[in-house]
Amino acid sequence: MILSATWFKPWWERWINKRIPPSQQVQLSQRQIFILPTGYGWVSAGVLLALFLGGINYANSLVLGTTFWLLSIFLVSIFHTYRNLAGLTISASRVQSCCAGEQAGFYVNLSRPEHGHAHHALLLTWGSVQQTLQLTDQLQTTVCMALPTRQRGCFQPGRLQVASSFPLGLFRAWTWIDLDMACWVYPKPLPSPLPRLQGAGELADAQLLNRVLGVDDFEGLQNYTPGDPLKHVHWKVFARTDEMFTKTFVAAHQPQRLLDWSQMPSDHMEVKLSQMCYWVLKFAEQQVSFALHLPGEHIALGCGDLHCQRCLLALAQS
Amino acid sequence: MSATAHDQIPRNSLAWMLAANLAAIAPHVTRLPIWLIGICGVCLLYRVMVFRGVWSFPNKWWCAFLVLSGGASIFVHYGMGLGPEAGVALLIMSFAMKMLEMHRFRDAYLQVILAYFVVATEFLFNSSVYVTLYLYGVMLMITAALIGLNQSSQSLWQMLRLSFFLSLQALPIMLMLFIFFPRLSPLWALDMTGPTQTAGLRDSMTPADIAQLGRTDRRAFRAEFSGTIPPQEQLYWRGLVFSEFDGRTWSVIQDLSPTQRSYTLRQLDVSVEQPSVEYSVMLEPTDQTHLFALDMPQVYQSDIVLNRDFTLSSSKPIVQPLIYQLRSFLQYRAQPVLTDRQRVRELQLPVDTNLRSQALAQQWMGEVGDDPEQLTQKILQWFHEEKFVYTLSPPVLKDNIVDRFLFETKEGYCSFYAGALVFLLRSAGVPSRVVVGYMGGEVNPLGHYVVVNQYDAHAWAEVWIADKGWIRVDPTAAVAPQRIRDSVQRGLSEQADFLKDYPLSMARYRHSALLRQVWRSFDYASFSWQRFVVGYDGEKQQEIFKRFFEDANALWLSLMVLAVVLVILGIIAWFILRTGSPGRADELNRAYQYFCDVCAKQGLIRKPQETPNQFARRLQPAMPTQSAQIDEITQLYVQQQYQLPTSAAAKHAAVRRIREVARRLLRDG
Repeated sequence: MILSATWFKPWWERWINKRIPPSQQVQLSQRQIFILPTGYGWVSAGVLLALFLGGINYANSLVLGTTFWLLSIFLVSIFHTYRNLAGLTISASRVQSCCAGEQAGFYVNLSRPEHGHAHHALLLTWGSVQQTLQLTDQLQTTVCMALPTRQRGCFQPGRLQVASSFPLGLFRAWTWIDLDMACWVYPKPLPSPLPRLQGAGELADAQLLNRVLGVDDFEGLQNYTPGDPLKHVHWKVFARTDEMFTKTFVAAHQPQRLLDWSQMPSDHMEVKLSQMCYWVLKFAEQQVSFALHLPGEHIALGCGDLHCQRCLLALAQS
Repeated sequence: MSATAHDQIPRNSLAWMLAANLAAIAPHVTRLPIWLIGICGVCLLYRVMVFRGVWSFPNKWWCAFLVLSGGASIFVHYGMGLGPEAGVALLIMSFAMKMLEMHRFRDAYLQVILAYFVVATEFLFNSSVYVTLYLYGVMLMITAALIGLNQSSQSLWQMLRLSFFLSLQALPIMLMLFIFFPRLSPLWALDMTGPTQTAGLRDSMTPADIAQLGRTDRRAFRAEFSGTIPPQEQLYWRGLVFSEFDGRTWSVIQDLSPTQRSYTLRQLDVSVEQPSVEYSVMLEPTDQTHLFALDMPQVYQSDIVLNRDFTLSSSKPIVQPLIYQLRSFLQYRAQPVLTDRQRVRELQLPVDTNLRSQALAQQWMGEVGDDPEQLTQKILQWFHEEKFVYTLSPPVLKDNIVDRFLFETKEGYCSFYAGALVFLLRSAGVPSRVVVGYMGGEVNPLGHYVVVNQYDAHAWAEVWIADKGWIRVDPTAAVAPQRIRDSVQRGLSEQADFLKDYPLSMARYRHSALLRQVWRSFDYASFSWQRFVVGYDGEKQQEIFKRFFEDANALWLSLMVLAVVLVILGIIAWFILRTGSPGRADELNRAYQYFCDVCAKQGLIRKPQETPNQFARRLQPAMPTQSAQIDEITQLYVQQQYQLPTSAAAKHAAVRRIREVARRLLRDG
């Protein structure tokens, strides 16, 4: 089984990629929808066969009539099952990144045309995650699929299966769509002592030692240079001495940190990244400014959500 | 079968399922043993209590015990040979018990599929139009339960509604299959024991037997005539001929009982004269082999045998409604010569009983000068003049029944008179015999057929006269002439005993013209149902095929049926999927598009980026005379499409107005 599955996969994937190419938005029609009998469908077919044989053998018109009616109902239900998916628009909404081992949020939007029909009992399966929903009263809904992640890097969850066996459960219509969604998975945070505590990580960098000009605290005066904001000119001194001085300020004092790849207390790359991730999250939580040095990428001192995201992304990608 | 996501049974589906189960079992109840009904009731009640959360499911040991003991009881009750009745009983028992362990989705599914099966098996026993309507109602409920299993947001009525529409959409295909799907002959032989409580005539009778039938309101058969229906007094439906009398019981002579050999009328020395009547008989199940026909019948079908006593029989017991075609000649001369053996047989008597009657007959025979015809007349005259009473509840007679009836009680039903007449004639040396069957029947002018009920059961005599053959003599006509002239209802309905066990029988209330009319309409519906639906078989199918397609072979027909079914499926698919197609604009947009098309004919094509107002402004100078109309259409469209939502009616009115004005634009050019 396993052997044939792996052998089968490339061919199957090539075929489905051609039939349902990846797209951020798909409106389901006969090109995307597949339909086959379920196990219950086969059981019902067996019961119909038994009824048919009974009707023939007892030469009973009404038993035969009942058999034919049930058969017709089952046949008609194929169209209803198909219709239940047809016209449904599925689009990628947004993704929520996470650290490895956590669940990444994939938001998928399902909608139907304003004059379209309702969609009942839809079963969304993405990997191991399943969710049922329906689109009966509202025109659109957004569903969050929380997909488990295992390792850092780019996470592509593969194809999303949308299936339904409404109304009779004898046939199952499904589609297998690639919404072209992916998210970055950050390294799994790993608590570790901060190198700075041993002194080595103290901000010795010349650039970092430079004052950071800010607006919070008055620091002193310096000679005016064209371009300095006029609000900062010390007008009182100017009135007295005819010399222009500019008041300088510094930002409120913050501990300033550097997370340096080369100084993380581990030899293993992934462990180093995990440790750095831990501190990035820690600093972000404490609203501490920090800089991040990775081989090939330096992120300057900064703080705030955007900075944090940028750092995490860099960790995920390196 | 992925049942991982939804392993629970939706509650609203369970509600339908329990209701449907109850309704599916209900019509079977009369045939099931009482203990099985008890089990079904307990199971259903238990499941309802579980449903309401009062009790919890029984544990598996209890279930195992129930199943084993129930199965054993079925075998004890019905024996090892599993006929359809036992099979259905077993099916219903497992069906009821399955309810007790219906925890999961899969169980519920099997339950629903079984329910369809239980409904269908009812048709093995009952095929009336009303039962069919009821059972199709039950099927709607089962389908609703099935729908309920596959979703959980719909209300009970929404499920039933969808079930109804599904069934309705399936109807055309079902009809095509019913009419055209080849009716194969049975694949293997089946022993159908059939219903056990059939009423009707048996191979032997004591006089009281037929009186018992006279109190039964059940249809025996219908006969549809292709020409005029003969008058009541000619409708003697011969069923069985009783030539043997043991002093108490009249019965069929064993060596005259049905052989597999069929005779023709010529072989039996019967000469017939036109006119003849053609008719088809729709016989209800009797569990017996004898059939009914007017004298003298000519047989067409190979499975019907004409016996030496001019009765008909079928090769198998009639356990399901049977339709057969006949032609009968009402004028005939049957067996003008009797062989010695026949003569002895038709004169047989228990000589040491009813001595008084024997003596009387021999005395009269002397008085009329050995003329059998005159003797018969004399006996009938005596019946007429003496104070003989025609009654449904005659006194019970133990021994010497002919003597006691003729000289003491003088009260009896038709079988008493027929038996006594034949006894007297035989005592005087005149070959004669008792014939039983039905007499008359009610004509339903709606369908040109006669309904014969069990209370029309009748017994009369046949007397053999040299050179004239067998002649029908009905002593009842001498006692109660109205019975013969107007059918049994008129003759007996004044009697308190007539149908006394059937207080609701329509036959009791037929003096009301309105009720009679209603009854006839119902019976006609039922008759048509039996004739065209229940009786639709391979032969009827062949007839239809022959009528429409002269030289059709089986392959060609099958292909055609397949093609027709596919076409119907296509049409249904189009109806169902039409609304689901993505690109379909609503009626408002289509109306506006129509307006744009009209303008396009003038060479003014709306650009994709143009708003309706911009388009209108561009149109105005080009069509100055129609500027008001253009304005109106644009205003209506913009209002409905982009402004606050209005009612559906207002929208519809706007659409109509847009189309109307646009049409005028087109006309004015």
